[in-house]
Amino acid sequence: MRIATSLMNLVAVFCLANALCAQPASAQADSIQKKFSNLYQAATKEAEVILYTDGRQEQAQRLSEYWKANFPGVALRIVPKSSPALIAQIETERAAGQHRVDVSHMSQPYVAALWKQKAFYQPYRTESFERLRPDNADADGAFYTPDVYTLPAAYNTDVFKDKSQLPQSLIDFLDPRWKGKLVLGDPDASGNTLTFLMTMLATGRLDWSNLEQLAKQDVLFVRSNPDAVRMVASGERALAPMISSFNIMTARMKGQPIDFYVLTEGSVVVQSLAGIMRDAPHPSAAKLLIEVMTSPQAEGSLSEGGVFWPAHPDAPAVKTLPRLADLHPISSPPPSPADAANIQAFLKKFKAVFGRQ
Amino acid sequence: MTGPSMTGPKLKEKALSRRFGFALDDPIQFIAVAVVLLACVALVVLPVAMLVTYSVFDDGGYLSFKAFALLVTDTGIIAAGVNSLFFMAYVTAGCLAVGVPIAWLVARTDVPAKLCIRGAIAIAFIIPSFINVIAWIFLAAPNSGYLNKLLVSWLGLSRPPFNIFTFGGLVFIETAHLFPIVFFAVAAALANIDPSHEQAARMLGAGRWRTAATITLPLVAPAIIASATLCMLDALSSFGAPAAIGTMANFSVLSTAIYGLLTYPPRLALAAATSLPIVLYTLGCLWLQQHYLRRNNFVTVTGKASAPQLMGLGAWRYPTLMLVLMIVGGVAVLPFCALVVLSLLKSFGSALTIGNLGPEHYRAVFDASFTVFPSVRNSLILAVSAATCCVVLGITTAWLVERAAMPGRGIISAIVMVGYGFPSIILGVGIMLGYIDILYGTLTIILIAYVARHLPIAFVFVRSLVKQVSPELEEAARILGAGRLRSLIDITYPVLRPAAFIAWLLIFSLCLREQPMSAILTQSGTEVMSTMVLQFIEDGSIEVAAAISVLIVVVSMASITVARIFAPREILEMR
Repeated sequence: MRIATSLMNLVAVFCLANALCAQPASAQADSIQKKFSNLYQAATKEAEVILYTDGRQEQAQRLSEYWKANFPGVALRIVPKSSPALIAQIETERAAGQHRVDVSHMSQPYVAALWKQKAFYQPYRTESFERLRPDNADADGAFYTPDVYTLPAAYNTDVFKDKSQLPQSLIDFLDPRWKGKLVLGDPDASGNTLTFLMTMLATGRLDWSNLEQLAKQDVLFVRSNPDAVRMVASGERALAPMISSFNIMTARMKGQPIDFYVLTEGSVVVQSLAGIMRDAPHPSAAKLLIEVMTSPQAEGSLSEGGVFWPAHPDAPAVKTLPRLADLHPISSPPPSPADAANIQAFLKKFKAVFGRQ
Repeated sequence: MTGPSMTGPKLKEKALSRRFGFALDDPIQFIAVAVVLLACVALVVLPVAMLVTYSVFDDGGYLSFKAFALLVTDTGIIAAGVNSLFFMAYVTAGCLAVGVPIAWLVARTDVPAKLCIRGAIAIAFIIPSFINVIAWIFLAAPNSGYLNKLLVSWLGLSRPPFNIFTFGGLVFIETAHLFPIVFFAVAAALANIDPSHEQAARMLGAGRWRTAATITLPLVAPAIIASATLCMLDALSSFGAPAAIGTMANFSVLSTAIYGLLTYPPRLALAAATSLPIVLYTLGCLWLQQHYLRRNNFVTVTGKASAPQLMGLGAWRYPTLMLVLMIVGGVAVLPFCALVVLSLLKSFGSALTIGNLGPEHYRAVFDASFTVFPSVRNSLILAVSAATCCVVLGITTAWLVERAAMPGRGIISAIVMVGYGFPSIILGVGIMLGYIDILYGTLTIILIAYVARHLPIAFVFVRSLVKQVSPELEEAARILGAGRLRSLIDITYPVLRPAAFIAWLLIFSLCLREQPMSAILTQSGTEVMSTMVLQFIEDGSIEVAAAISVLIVVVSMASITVARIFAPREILEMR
């Protein structure tokens, strides 16, 4: 009898715990629907919303599931693209005078600044606009930052069993003993490397004489961060001064011998940028989507799927990630229309210094 | 005495006079002309015109040649253009050096295991180029390549024997990927020549090797030159290997330079302008091809052909087989095995042990949430449709260009070929600009892109065979009362069928793995397998990408096998 009572108590406790755990989720669902009920109503008449994104597949899947659960009747069509394909596609659509996308989401701040200048975006102030930090929302509401990632250094854990052997600062990478051991994304092809180097130069953490020394280190240049991860994990090159955090963490979660660490200079923070496109075919649904993508309720879940840090100050932390503040984050300068010319000048000098074609 | 030298200007004139007159009152010819002109405009002229327009107007809509001025002053683009020329030359020479001898061995000698050789060469062609690069890095990266590690450990070498991160490595990967074009084109042509020429040479005292070198190979010069042209243009527009290896080897070509212009910051007008010199490259290649072919007559199928005699290799039969298998194994089987191992790796970078292998990544392929299956369906629909359209259009165009004495035939062949030399991503942009209003987001726009890109393969394969077929055959049928359509179906088509069949298979395989245009043109619901592969690579899931690539190879090989089962016997024997 006592055993039966105990079992009943256990079941009751389990049900209570389950209910308590479930309640916030359903409550959140109710609240996000209610919160944006007017937009939802208008979006229902438009029936669908189209998102172009260069985000990770897991993130897109989570967004799709979240949307279906909360906004039935409005189909979310996600078009996943690599950054270059996404940029070329939107540029071509605009060149042809076509407006097929409602919201674009990508991680190229320089392109976002250029698109703002070309009036590709439709400025819109979200409900939480005032709550967002200035670096997480464009001053005019042209684009927002749903999530961020960092650019820490990376190393092969099989090669470096003892972390104290690792170069601790960017200047340490210039030591001749690391010659032939480094890999880096080519800034001509990798937007993250471009952001990293330009931020480090702009903030005075690196100068061109440092880069001239780095050019003597027989650095292996690759096209993208996933390529750099493969080079480090395979042992082809044991060290990387920077690789995007989500690429390293995803590889680490799969058991690959790679990990990241923070240099004394800190790690550059990169923002993903989402904005409503001008003359969007589904304007109300586009507003609803950008509200959802920048809401604290959705950001937590979506960031977890992408292995990013949510940008909204009220969003729950992603449990699998360390606190962003512990990584000595360095904010990159806000994107500006002058970036295009600066990038051209930087790349020209970079190619000359490194003898790159 | 060689095939080509038997003919001269008089014979050429005679052959020309045999050509059917250009008559628009002939309904069959009228329909053929209409179809070909429509295809030229829809597939090439419209997209290229859109690109030209875009490159000569500035953002304000005013006529501007600023993009062209930048083009001729940008040292990086000029260097990329020069590099492209060298890259094309080396790759084409490599493809001919490997493809022609193996084609001759398979088509004209008694070397054993021909099916096995053909299958392996097909695999080399089918593996998507961007995943082929990853497979080769996996094998031959200087420090981490498994092949290097194995050889260093087995042979006690002091340094790794291979370094794929070099210009030589890039040429090797591209050659290994493209030589099947030469192999299939030349093998089809070799199987189709009239053996009486060779028999005559042998009777006049020429040895086997001399006959092969002075009679057989010159007779298939159209196929050799045509496939070399395809290799040149493919190398010119190639992106996957030059992008990955070129970045590591510090080597840029036009296609990678153009890709760079589309990104940070995007300069579409300059990218479009940069593509236009490629039209000049293409026309230059075609001029060279025509210049050579015009001087000679390659008619070898006269209706009096007997069965081909295979040359006996005698004691060299098995050593030759071993050599061929080593080459084919090196360029096809090895990267495919690497791909399979990669797809089974639980943890990339960890030791290659049984415990580190498993089928997990194939589960992801079969996971409904990743939409891999809809992409397989879309890819198959597109590949079958594009291959069929290309072959039908290729036969029509080749027949028209070679048989109808209509004006502007050279222009038609140039227009058709331009699509092959264009970097795929820019051709994709042109097609998007041309059809965005009516077909955007549909499979049809992707089909148009695939056909525009791959029609030259069918055209080149079929045309080289049309050149071998004497117009007398069709004329004889006409004299005996057959209409033009009947003579085409009963006389010309059976001769062209082997080339058409091989072109269909090649195009089918190419479409299954086409990536740069698909990346631009696919939308939600029209994803294809290659875009799924790219998405997994971008996400850092190279193992899943490898698993899908294995699936692409398996689907391609299964389709080819089914096609072979149902193909007529003479096609299987290339005769």
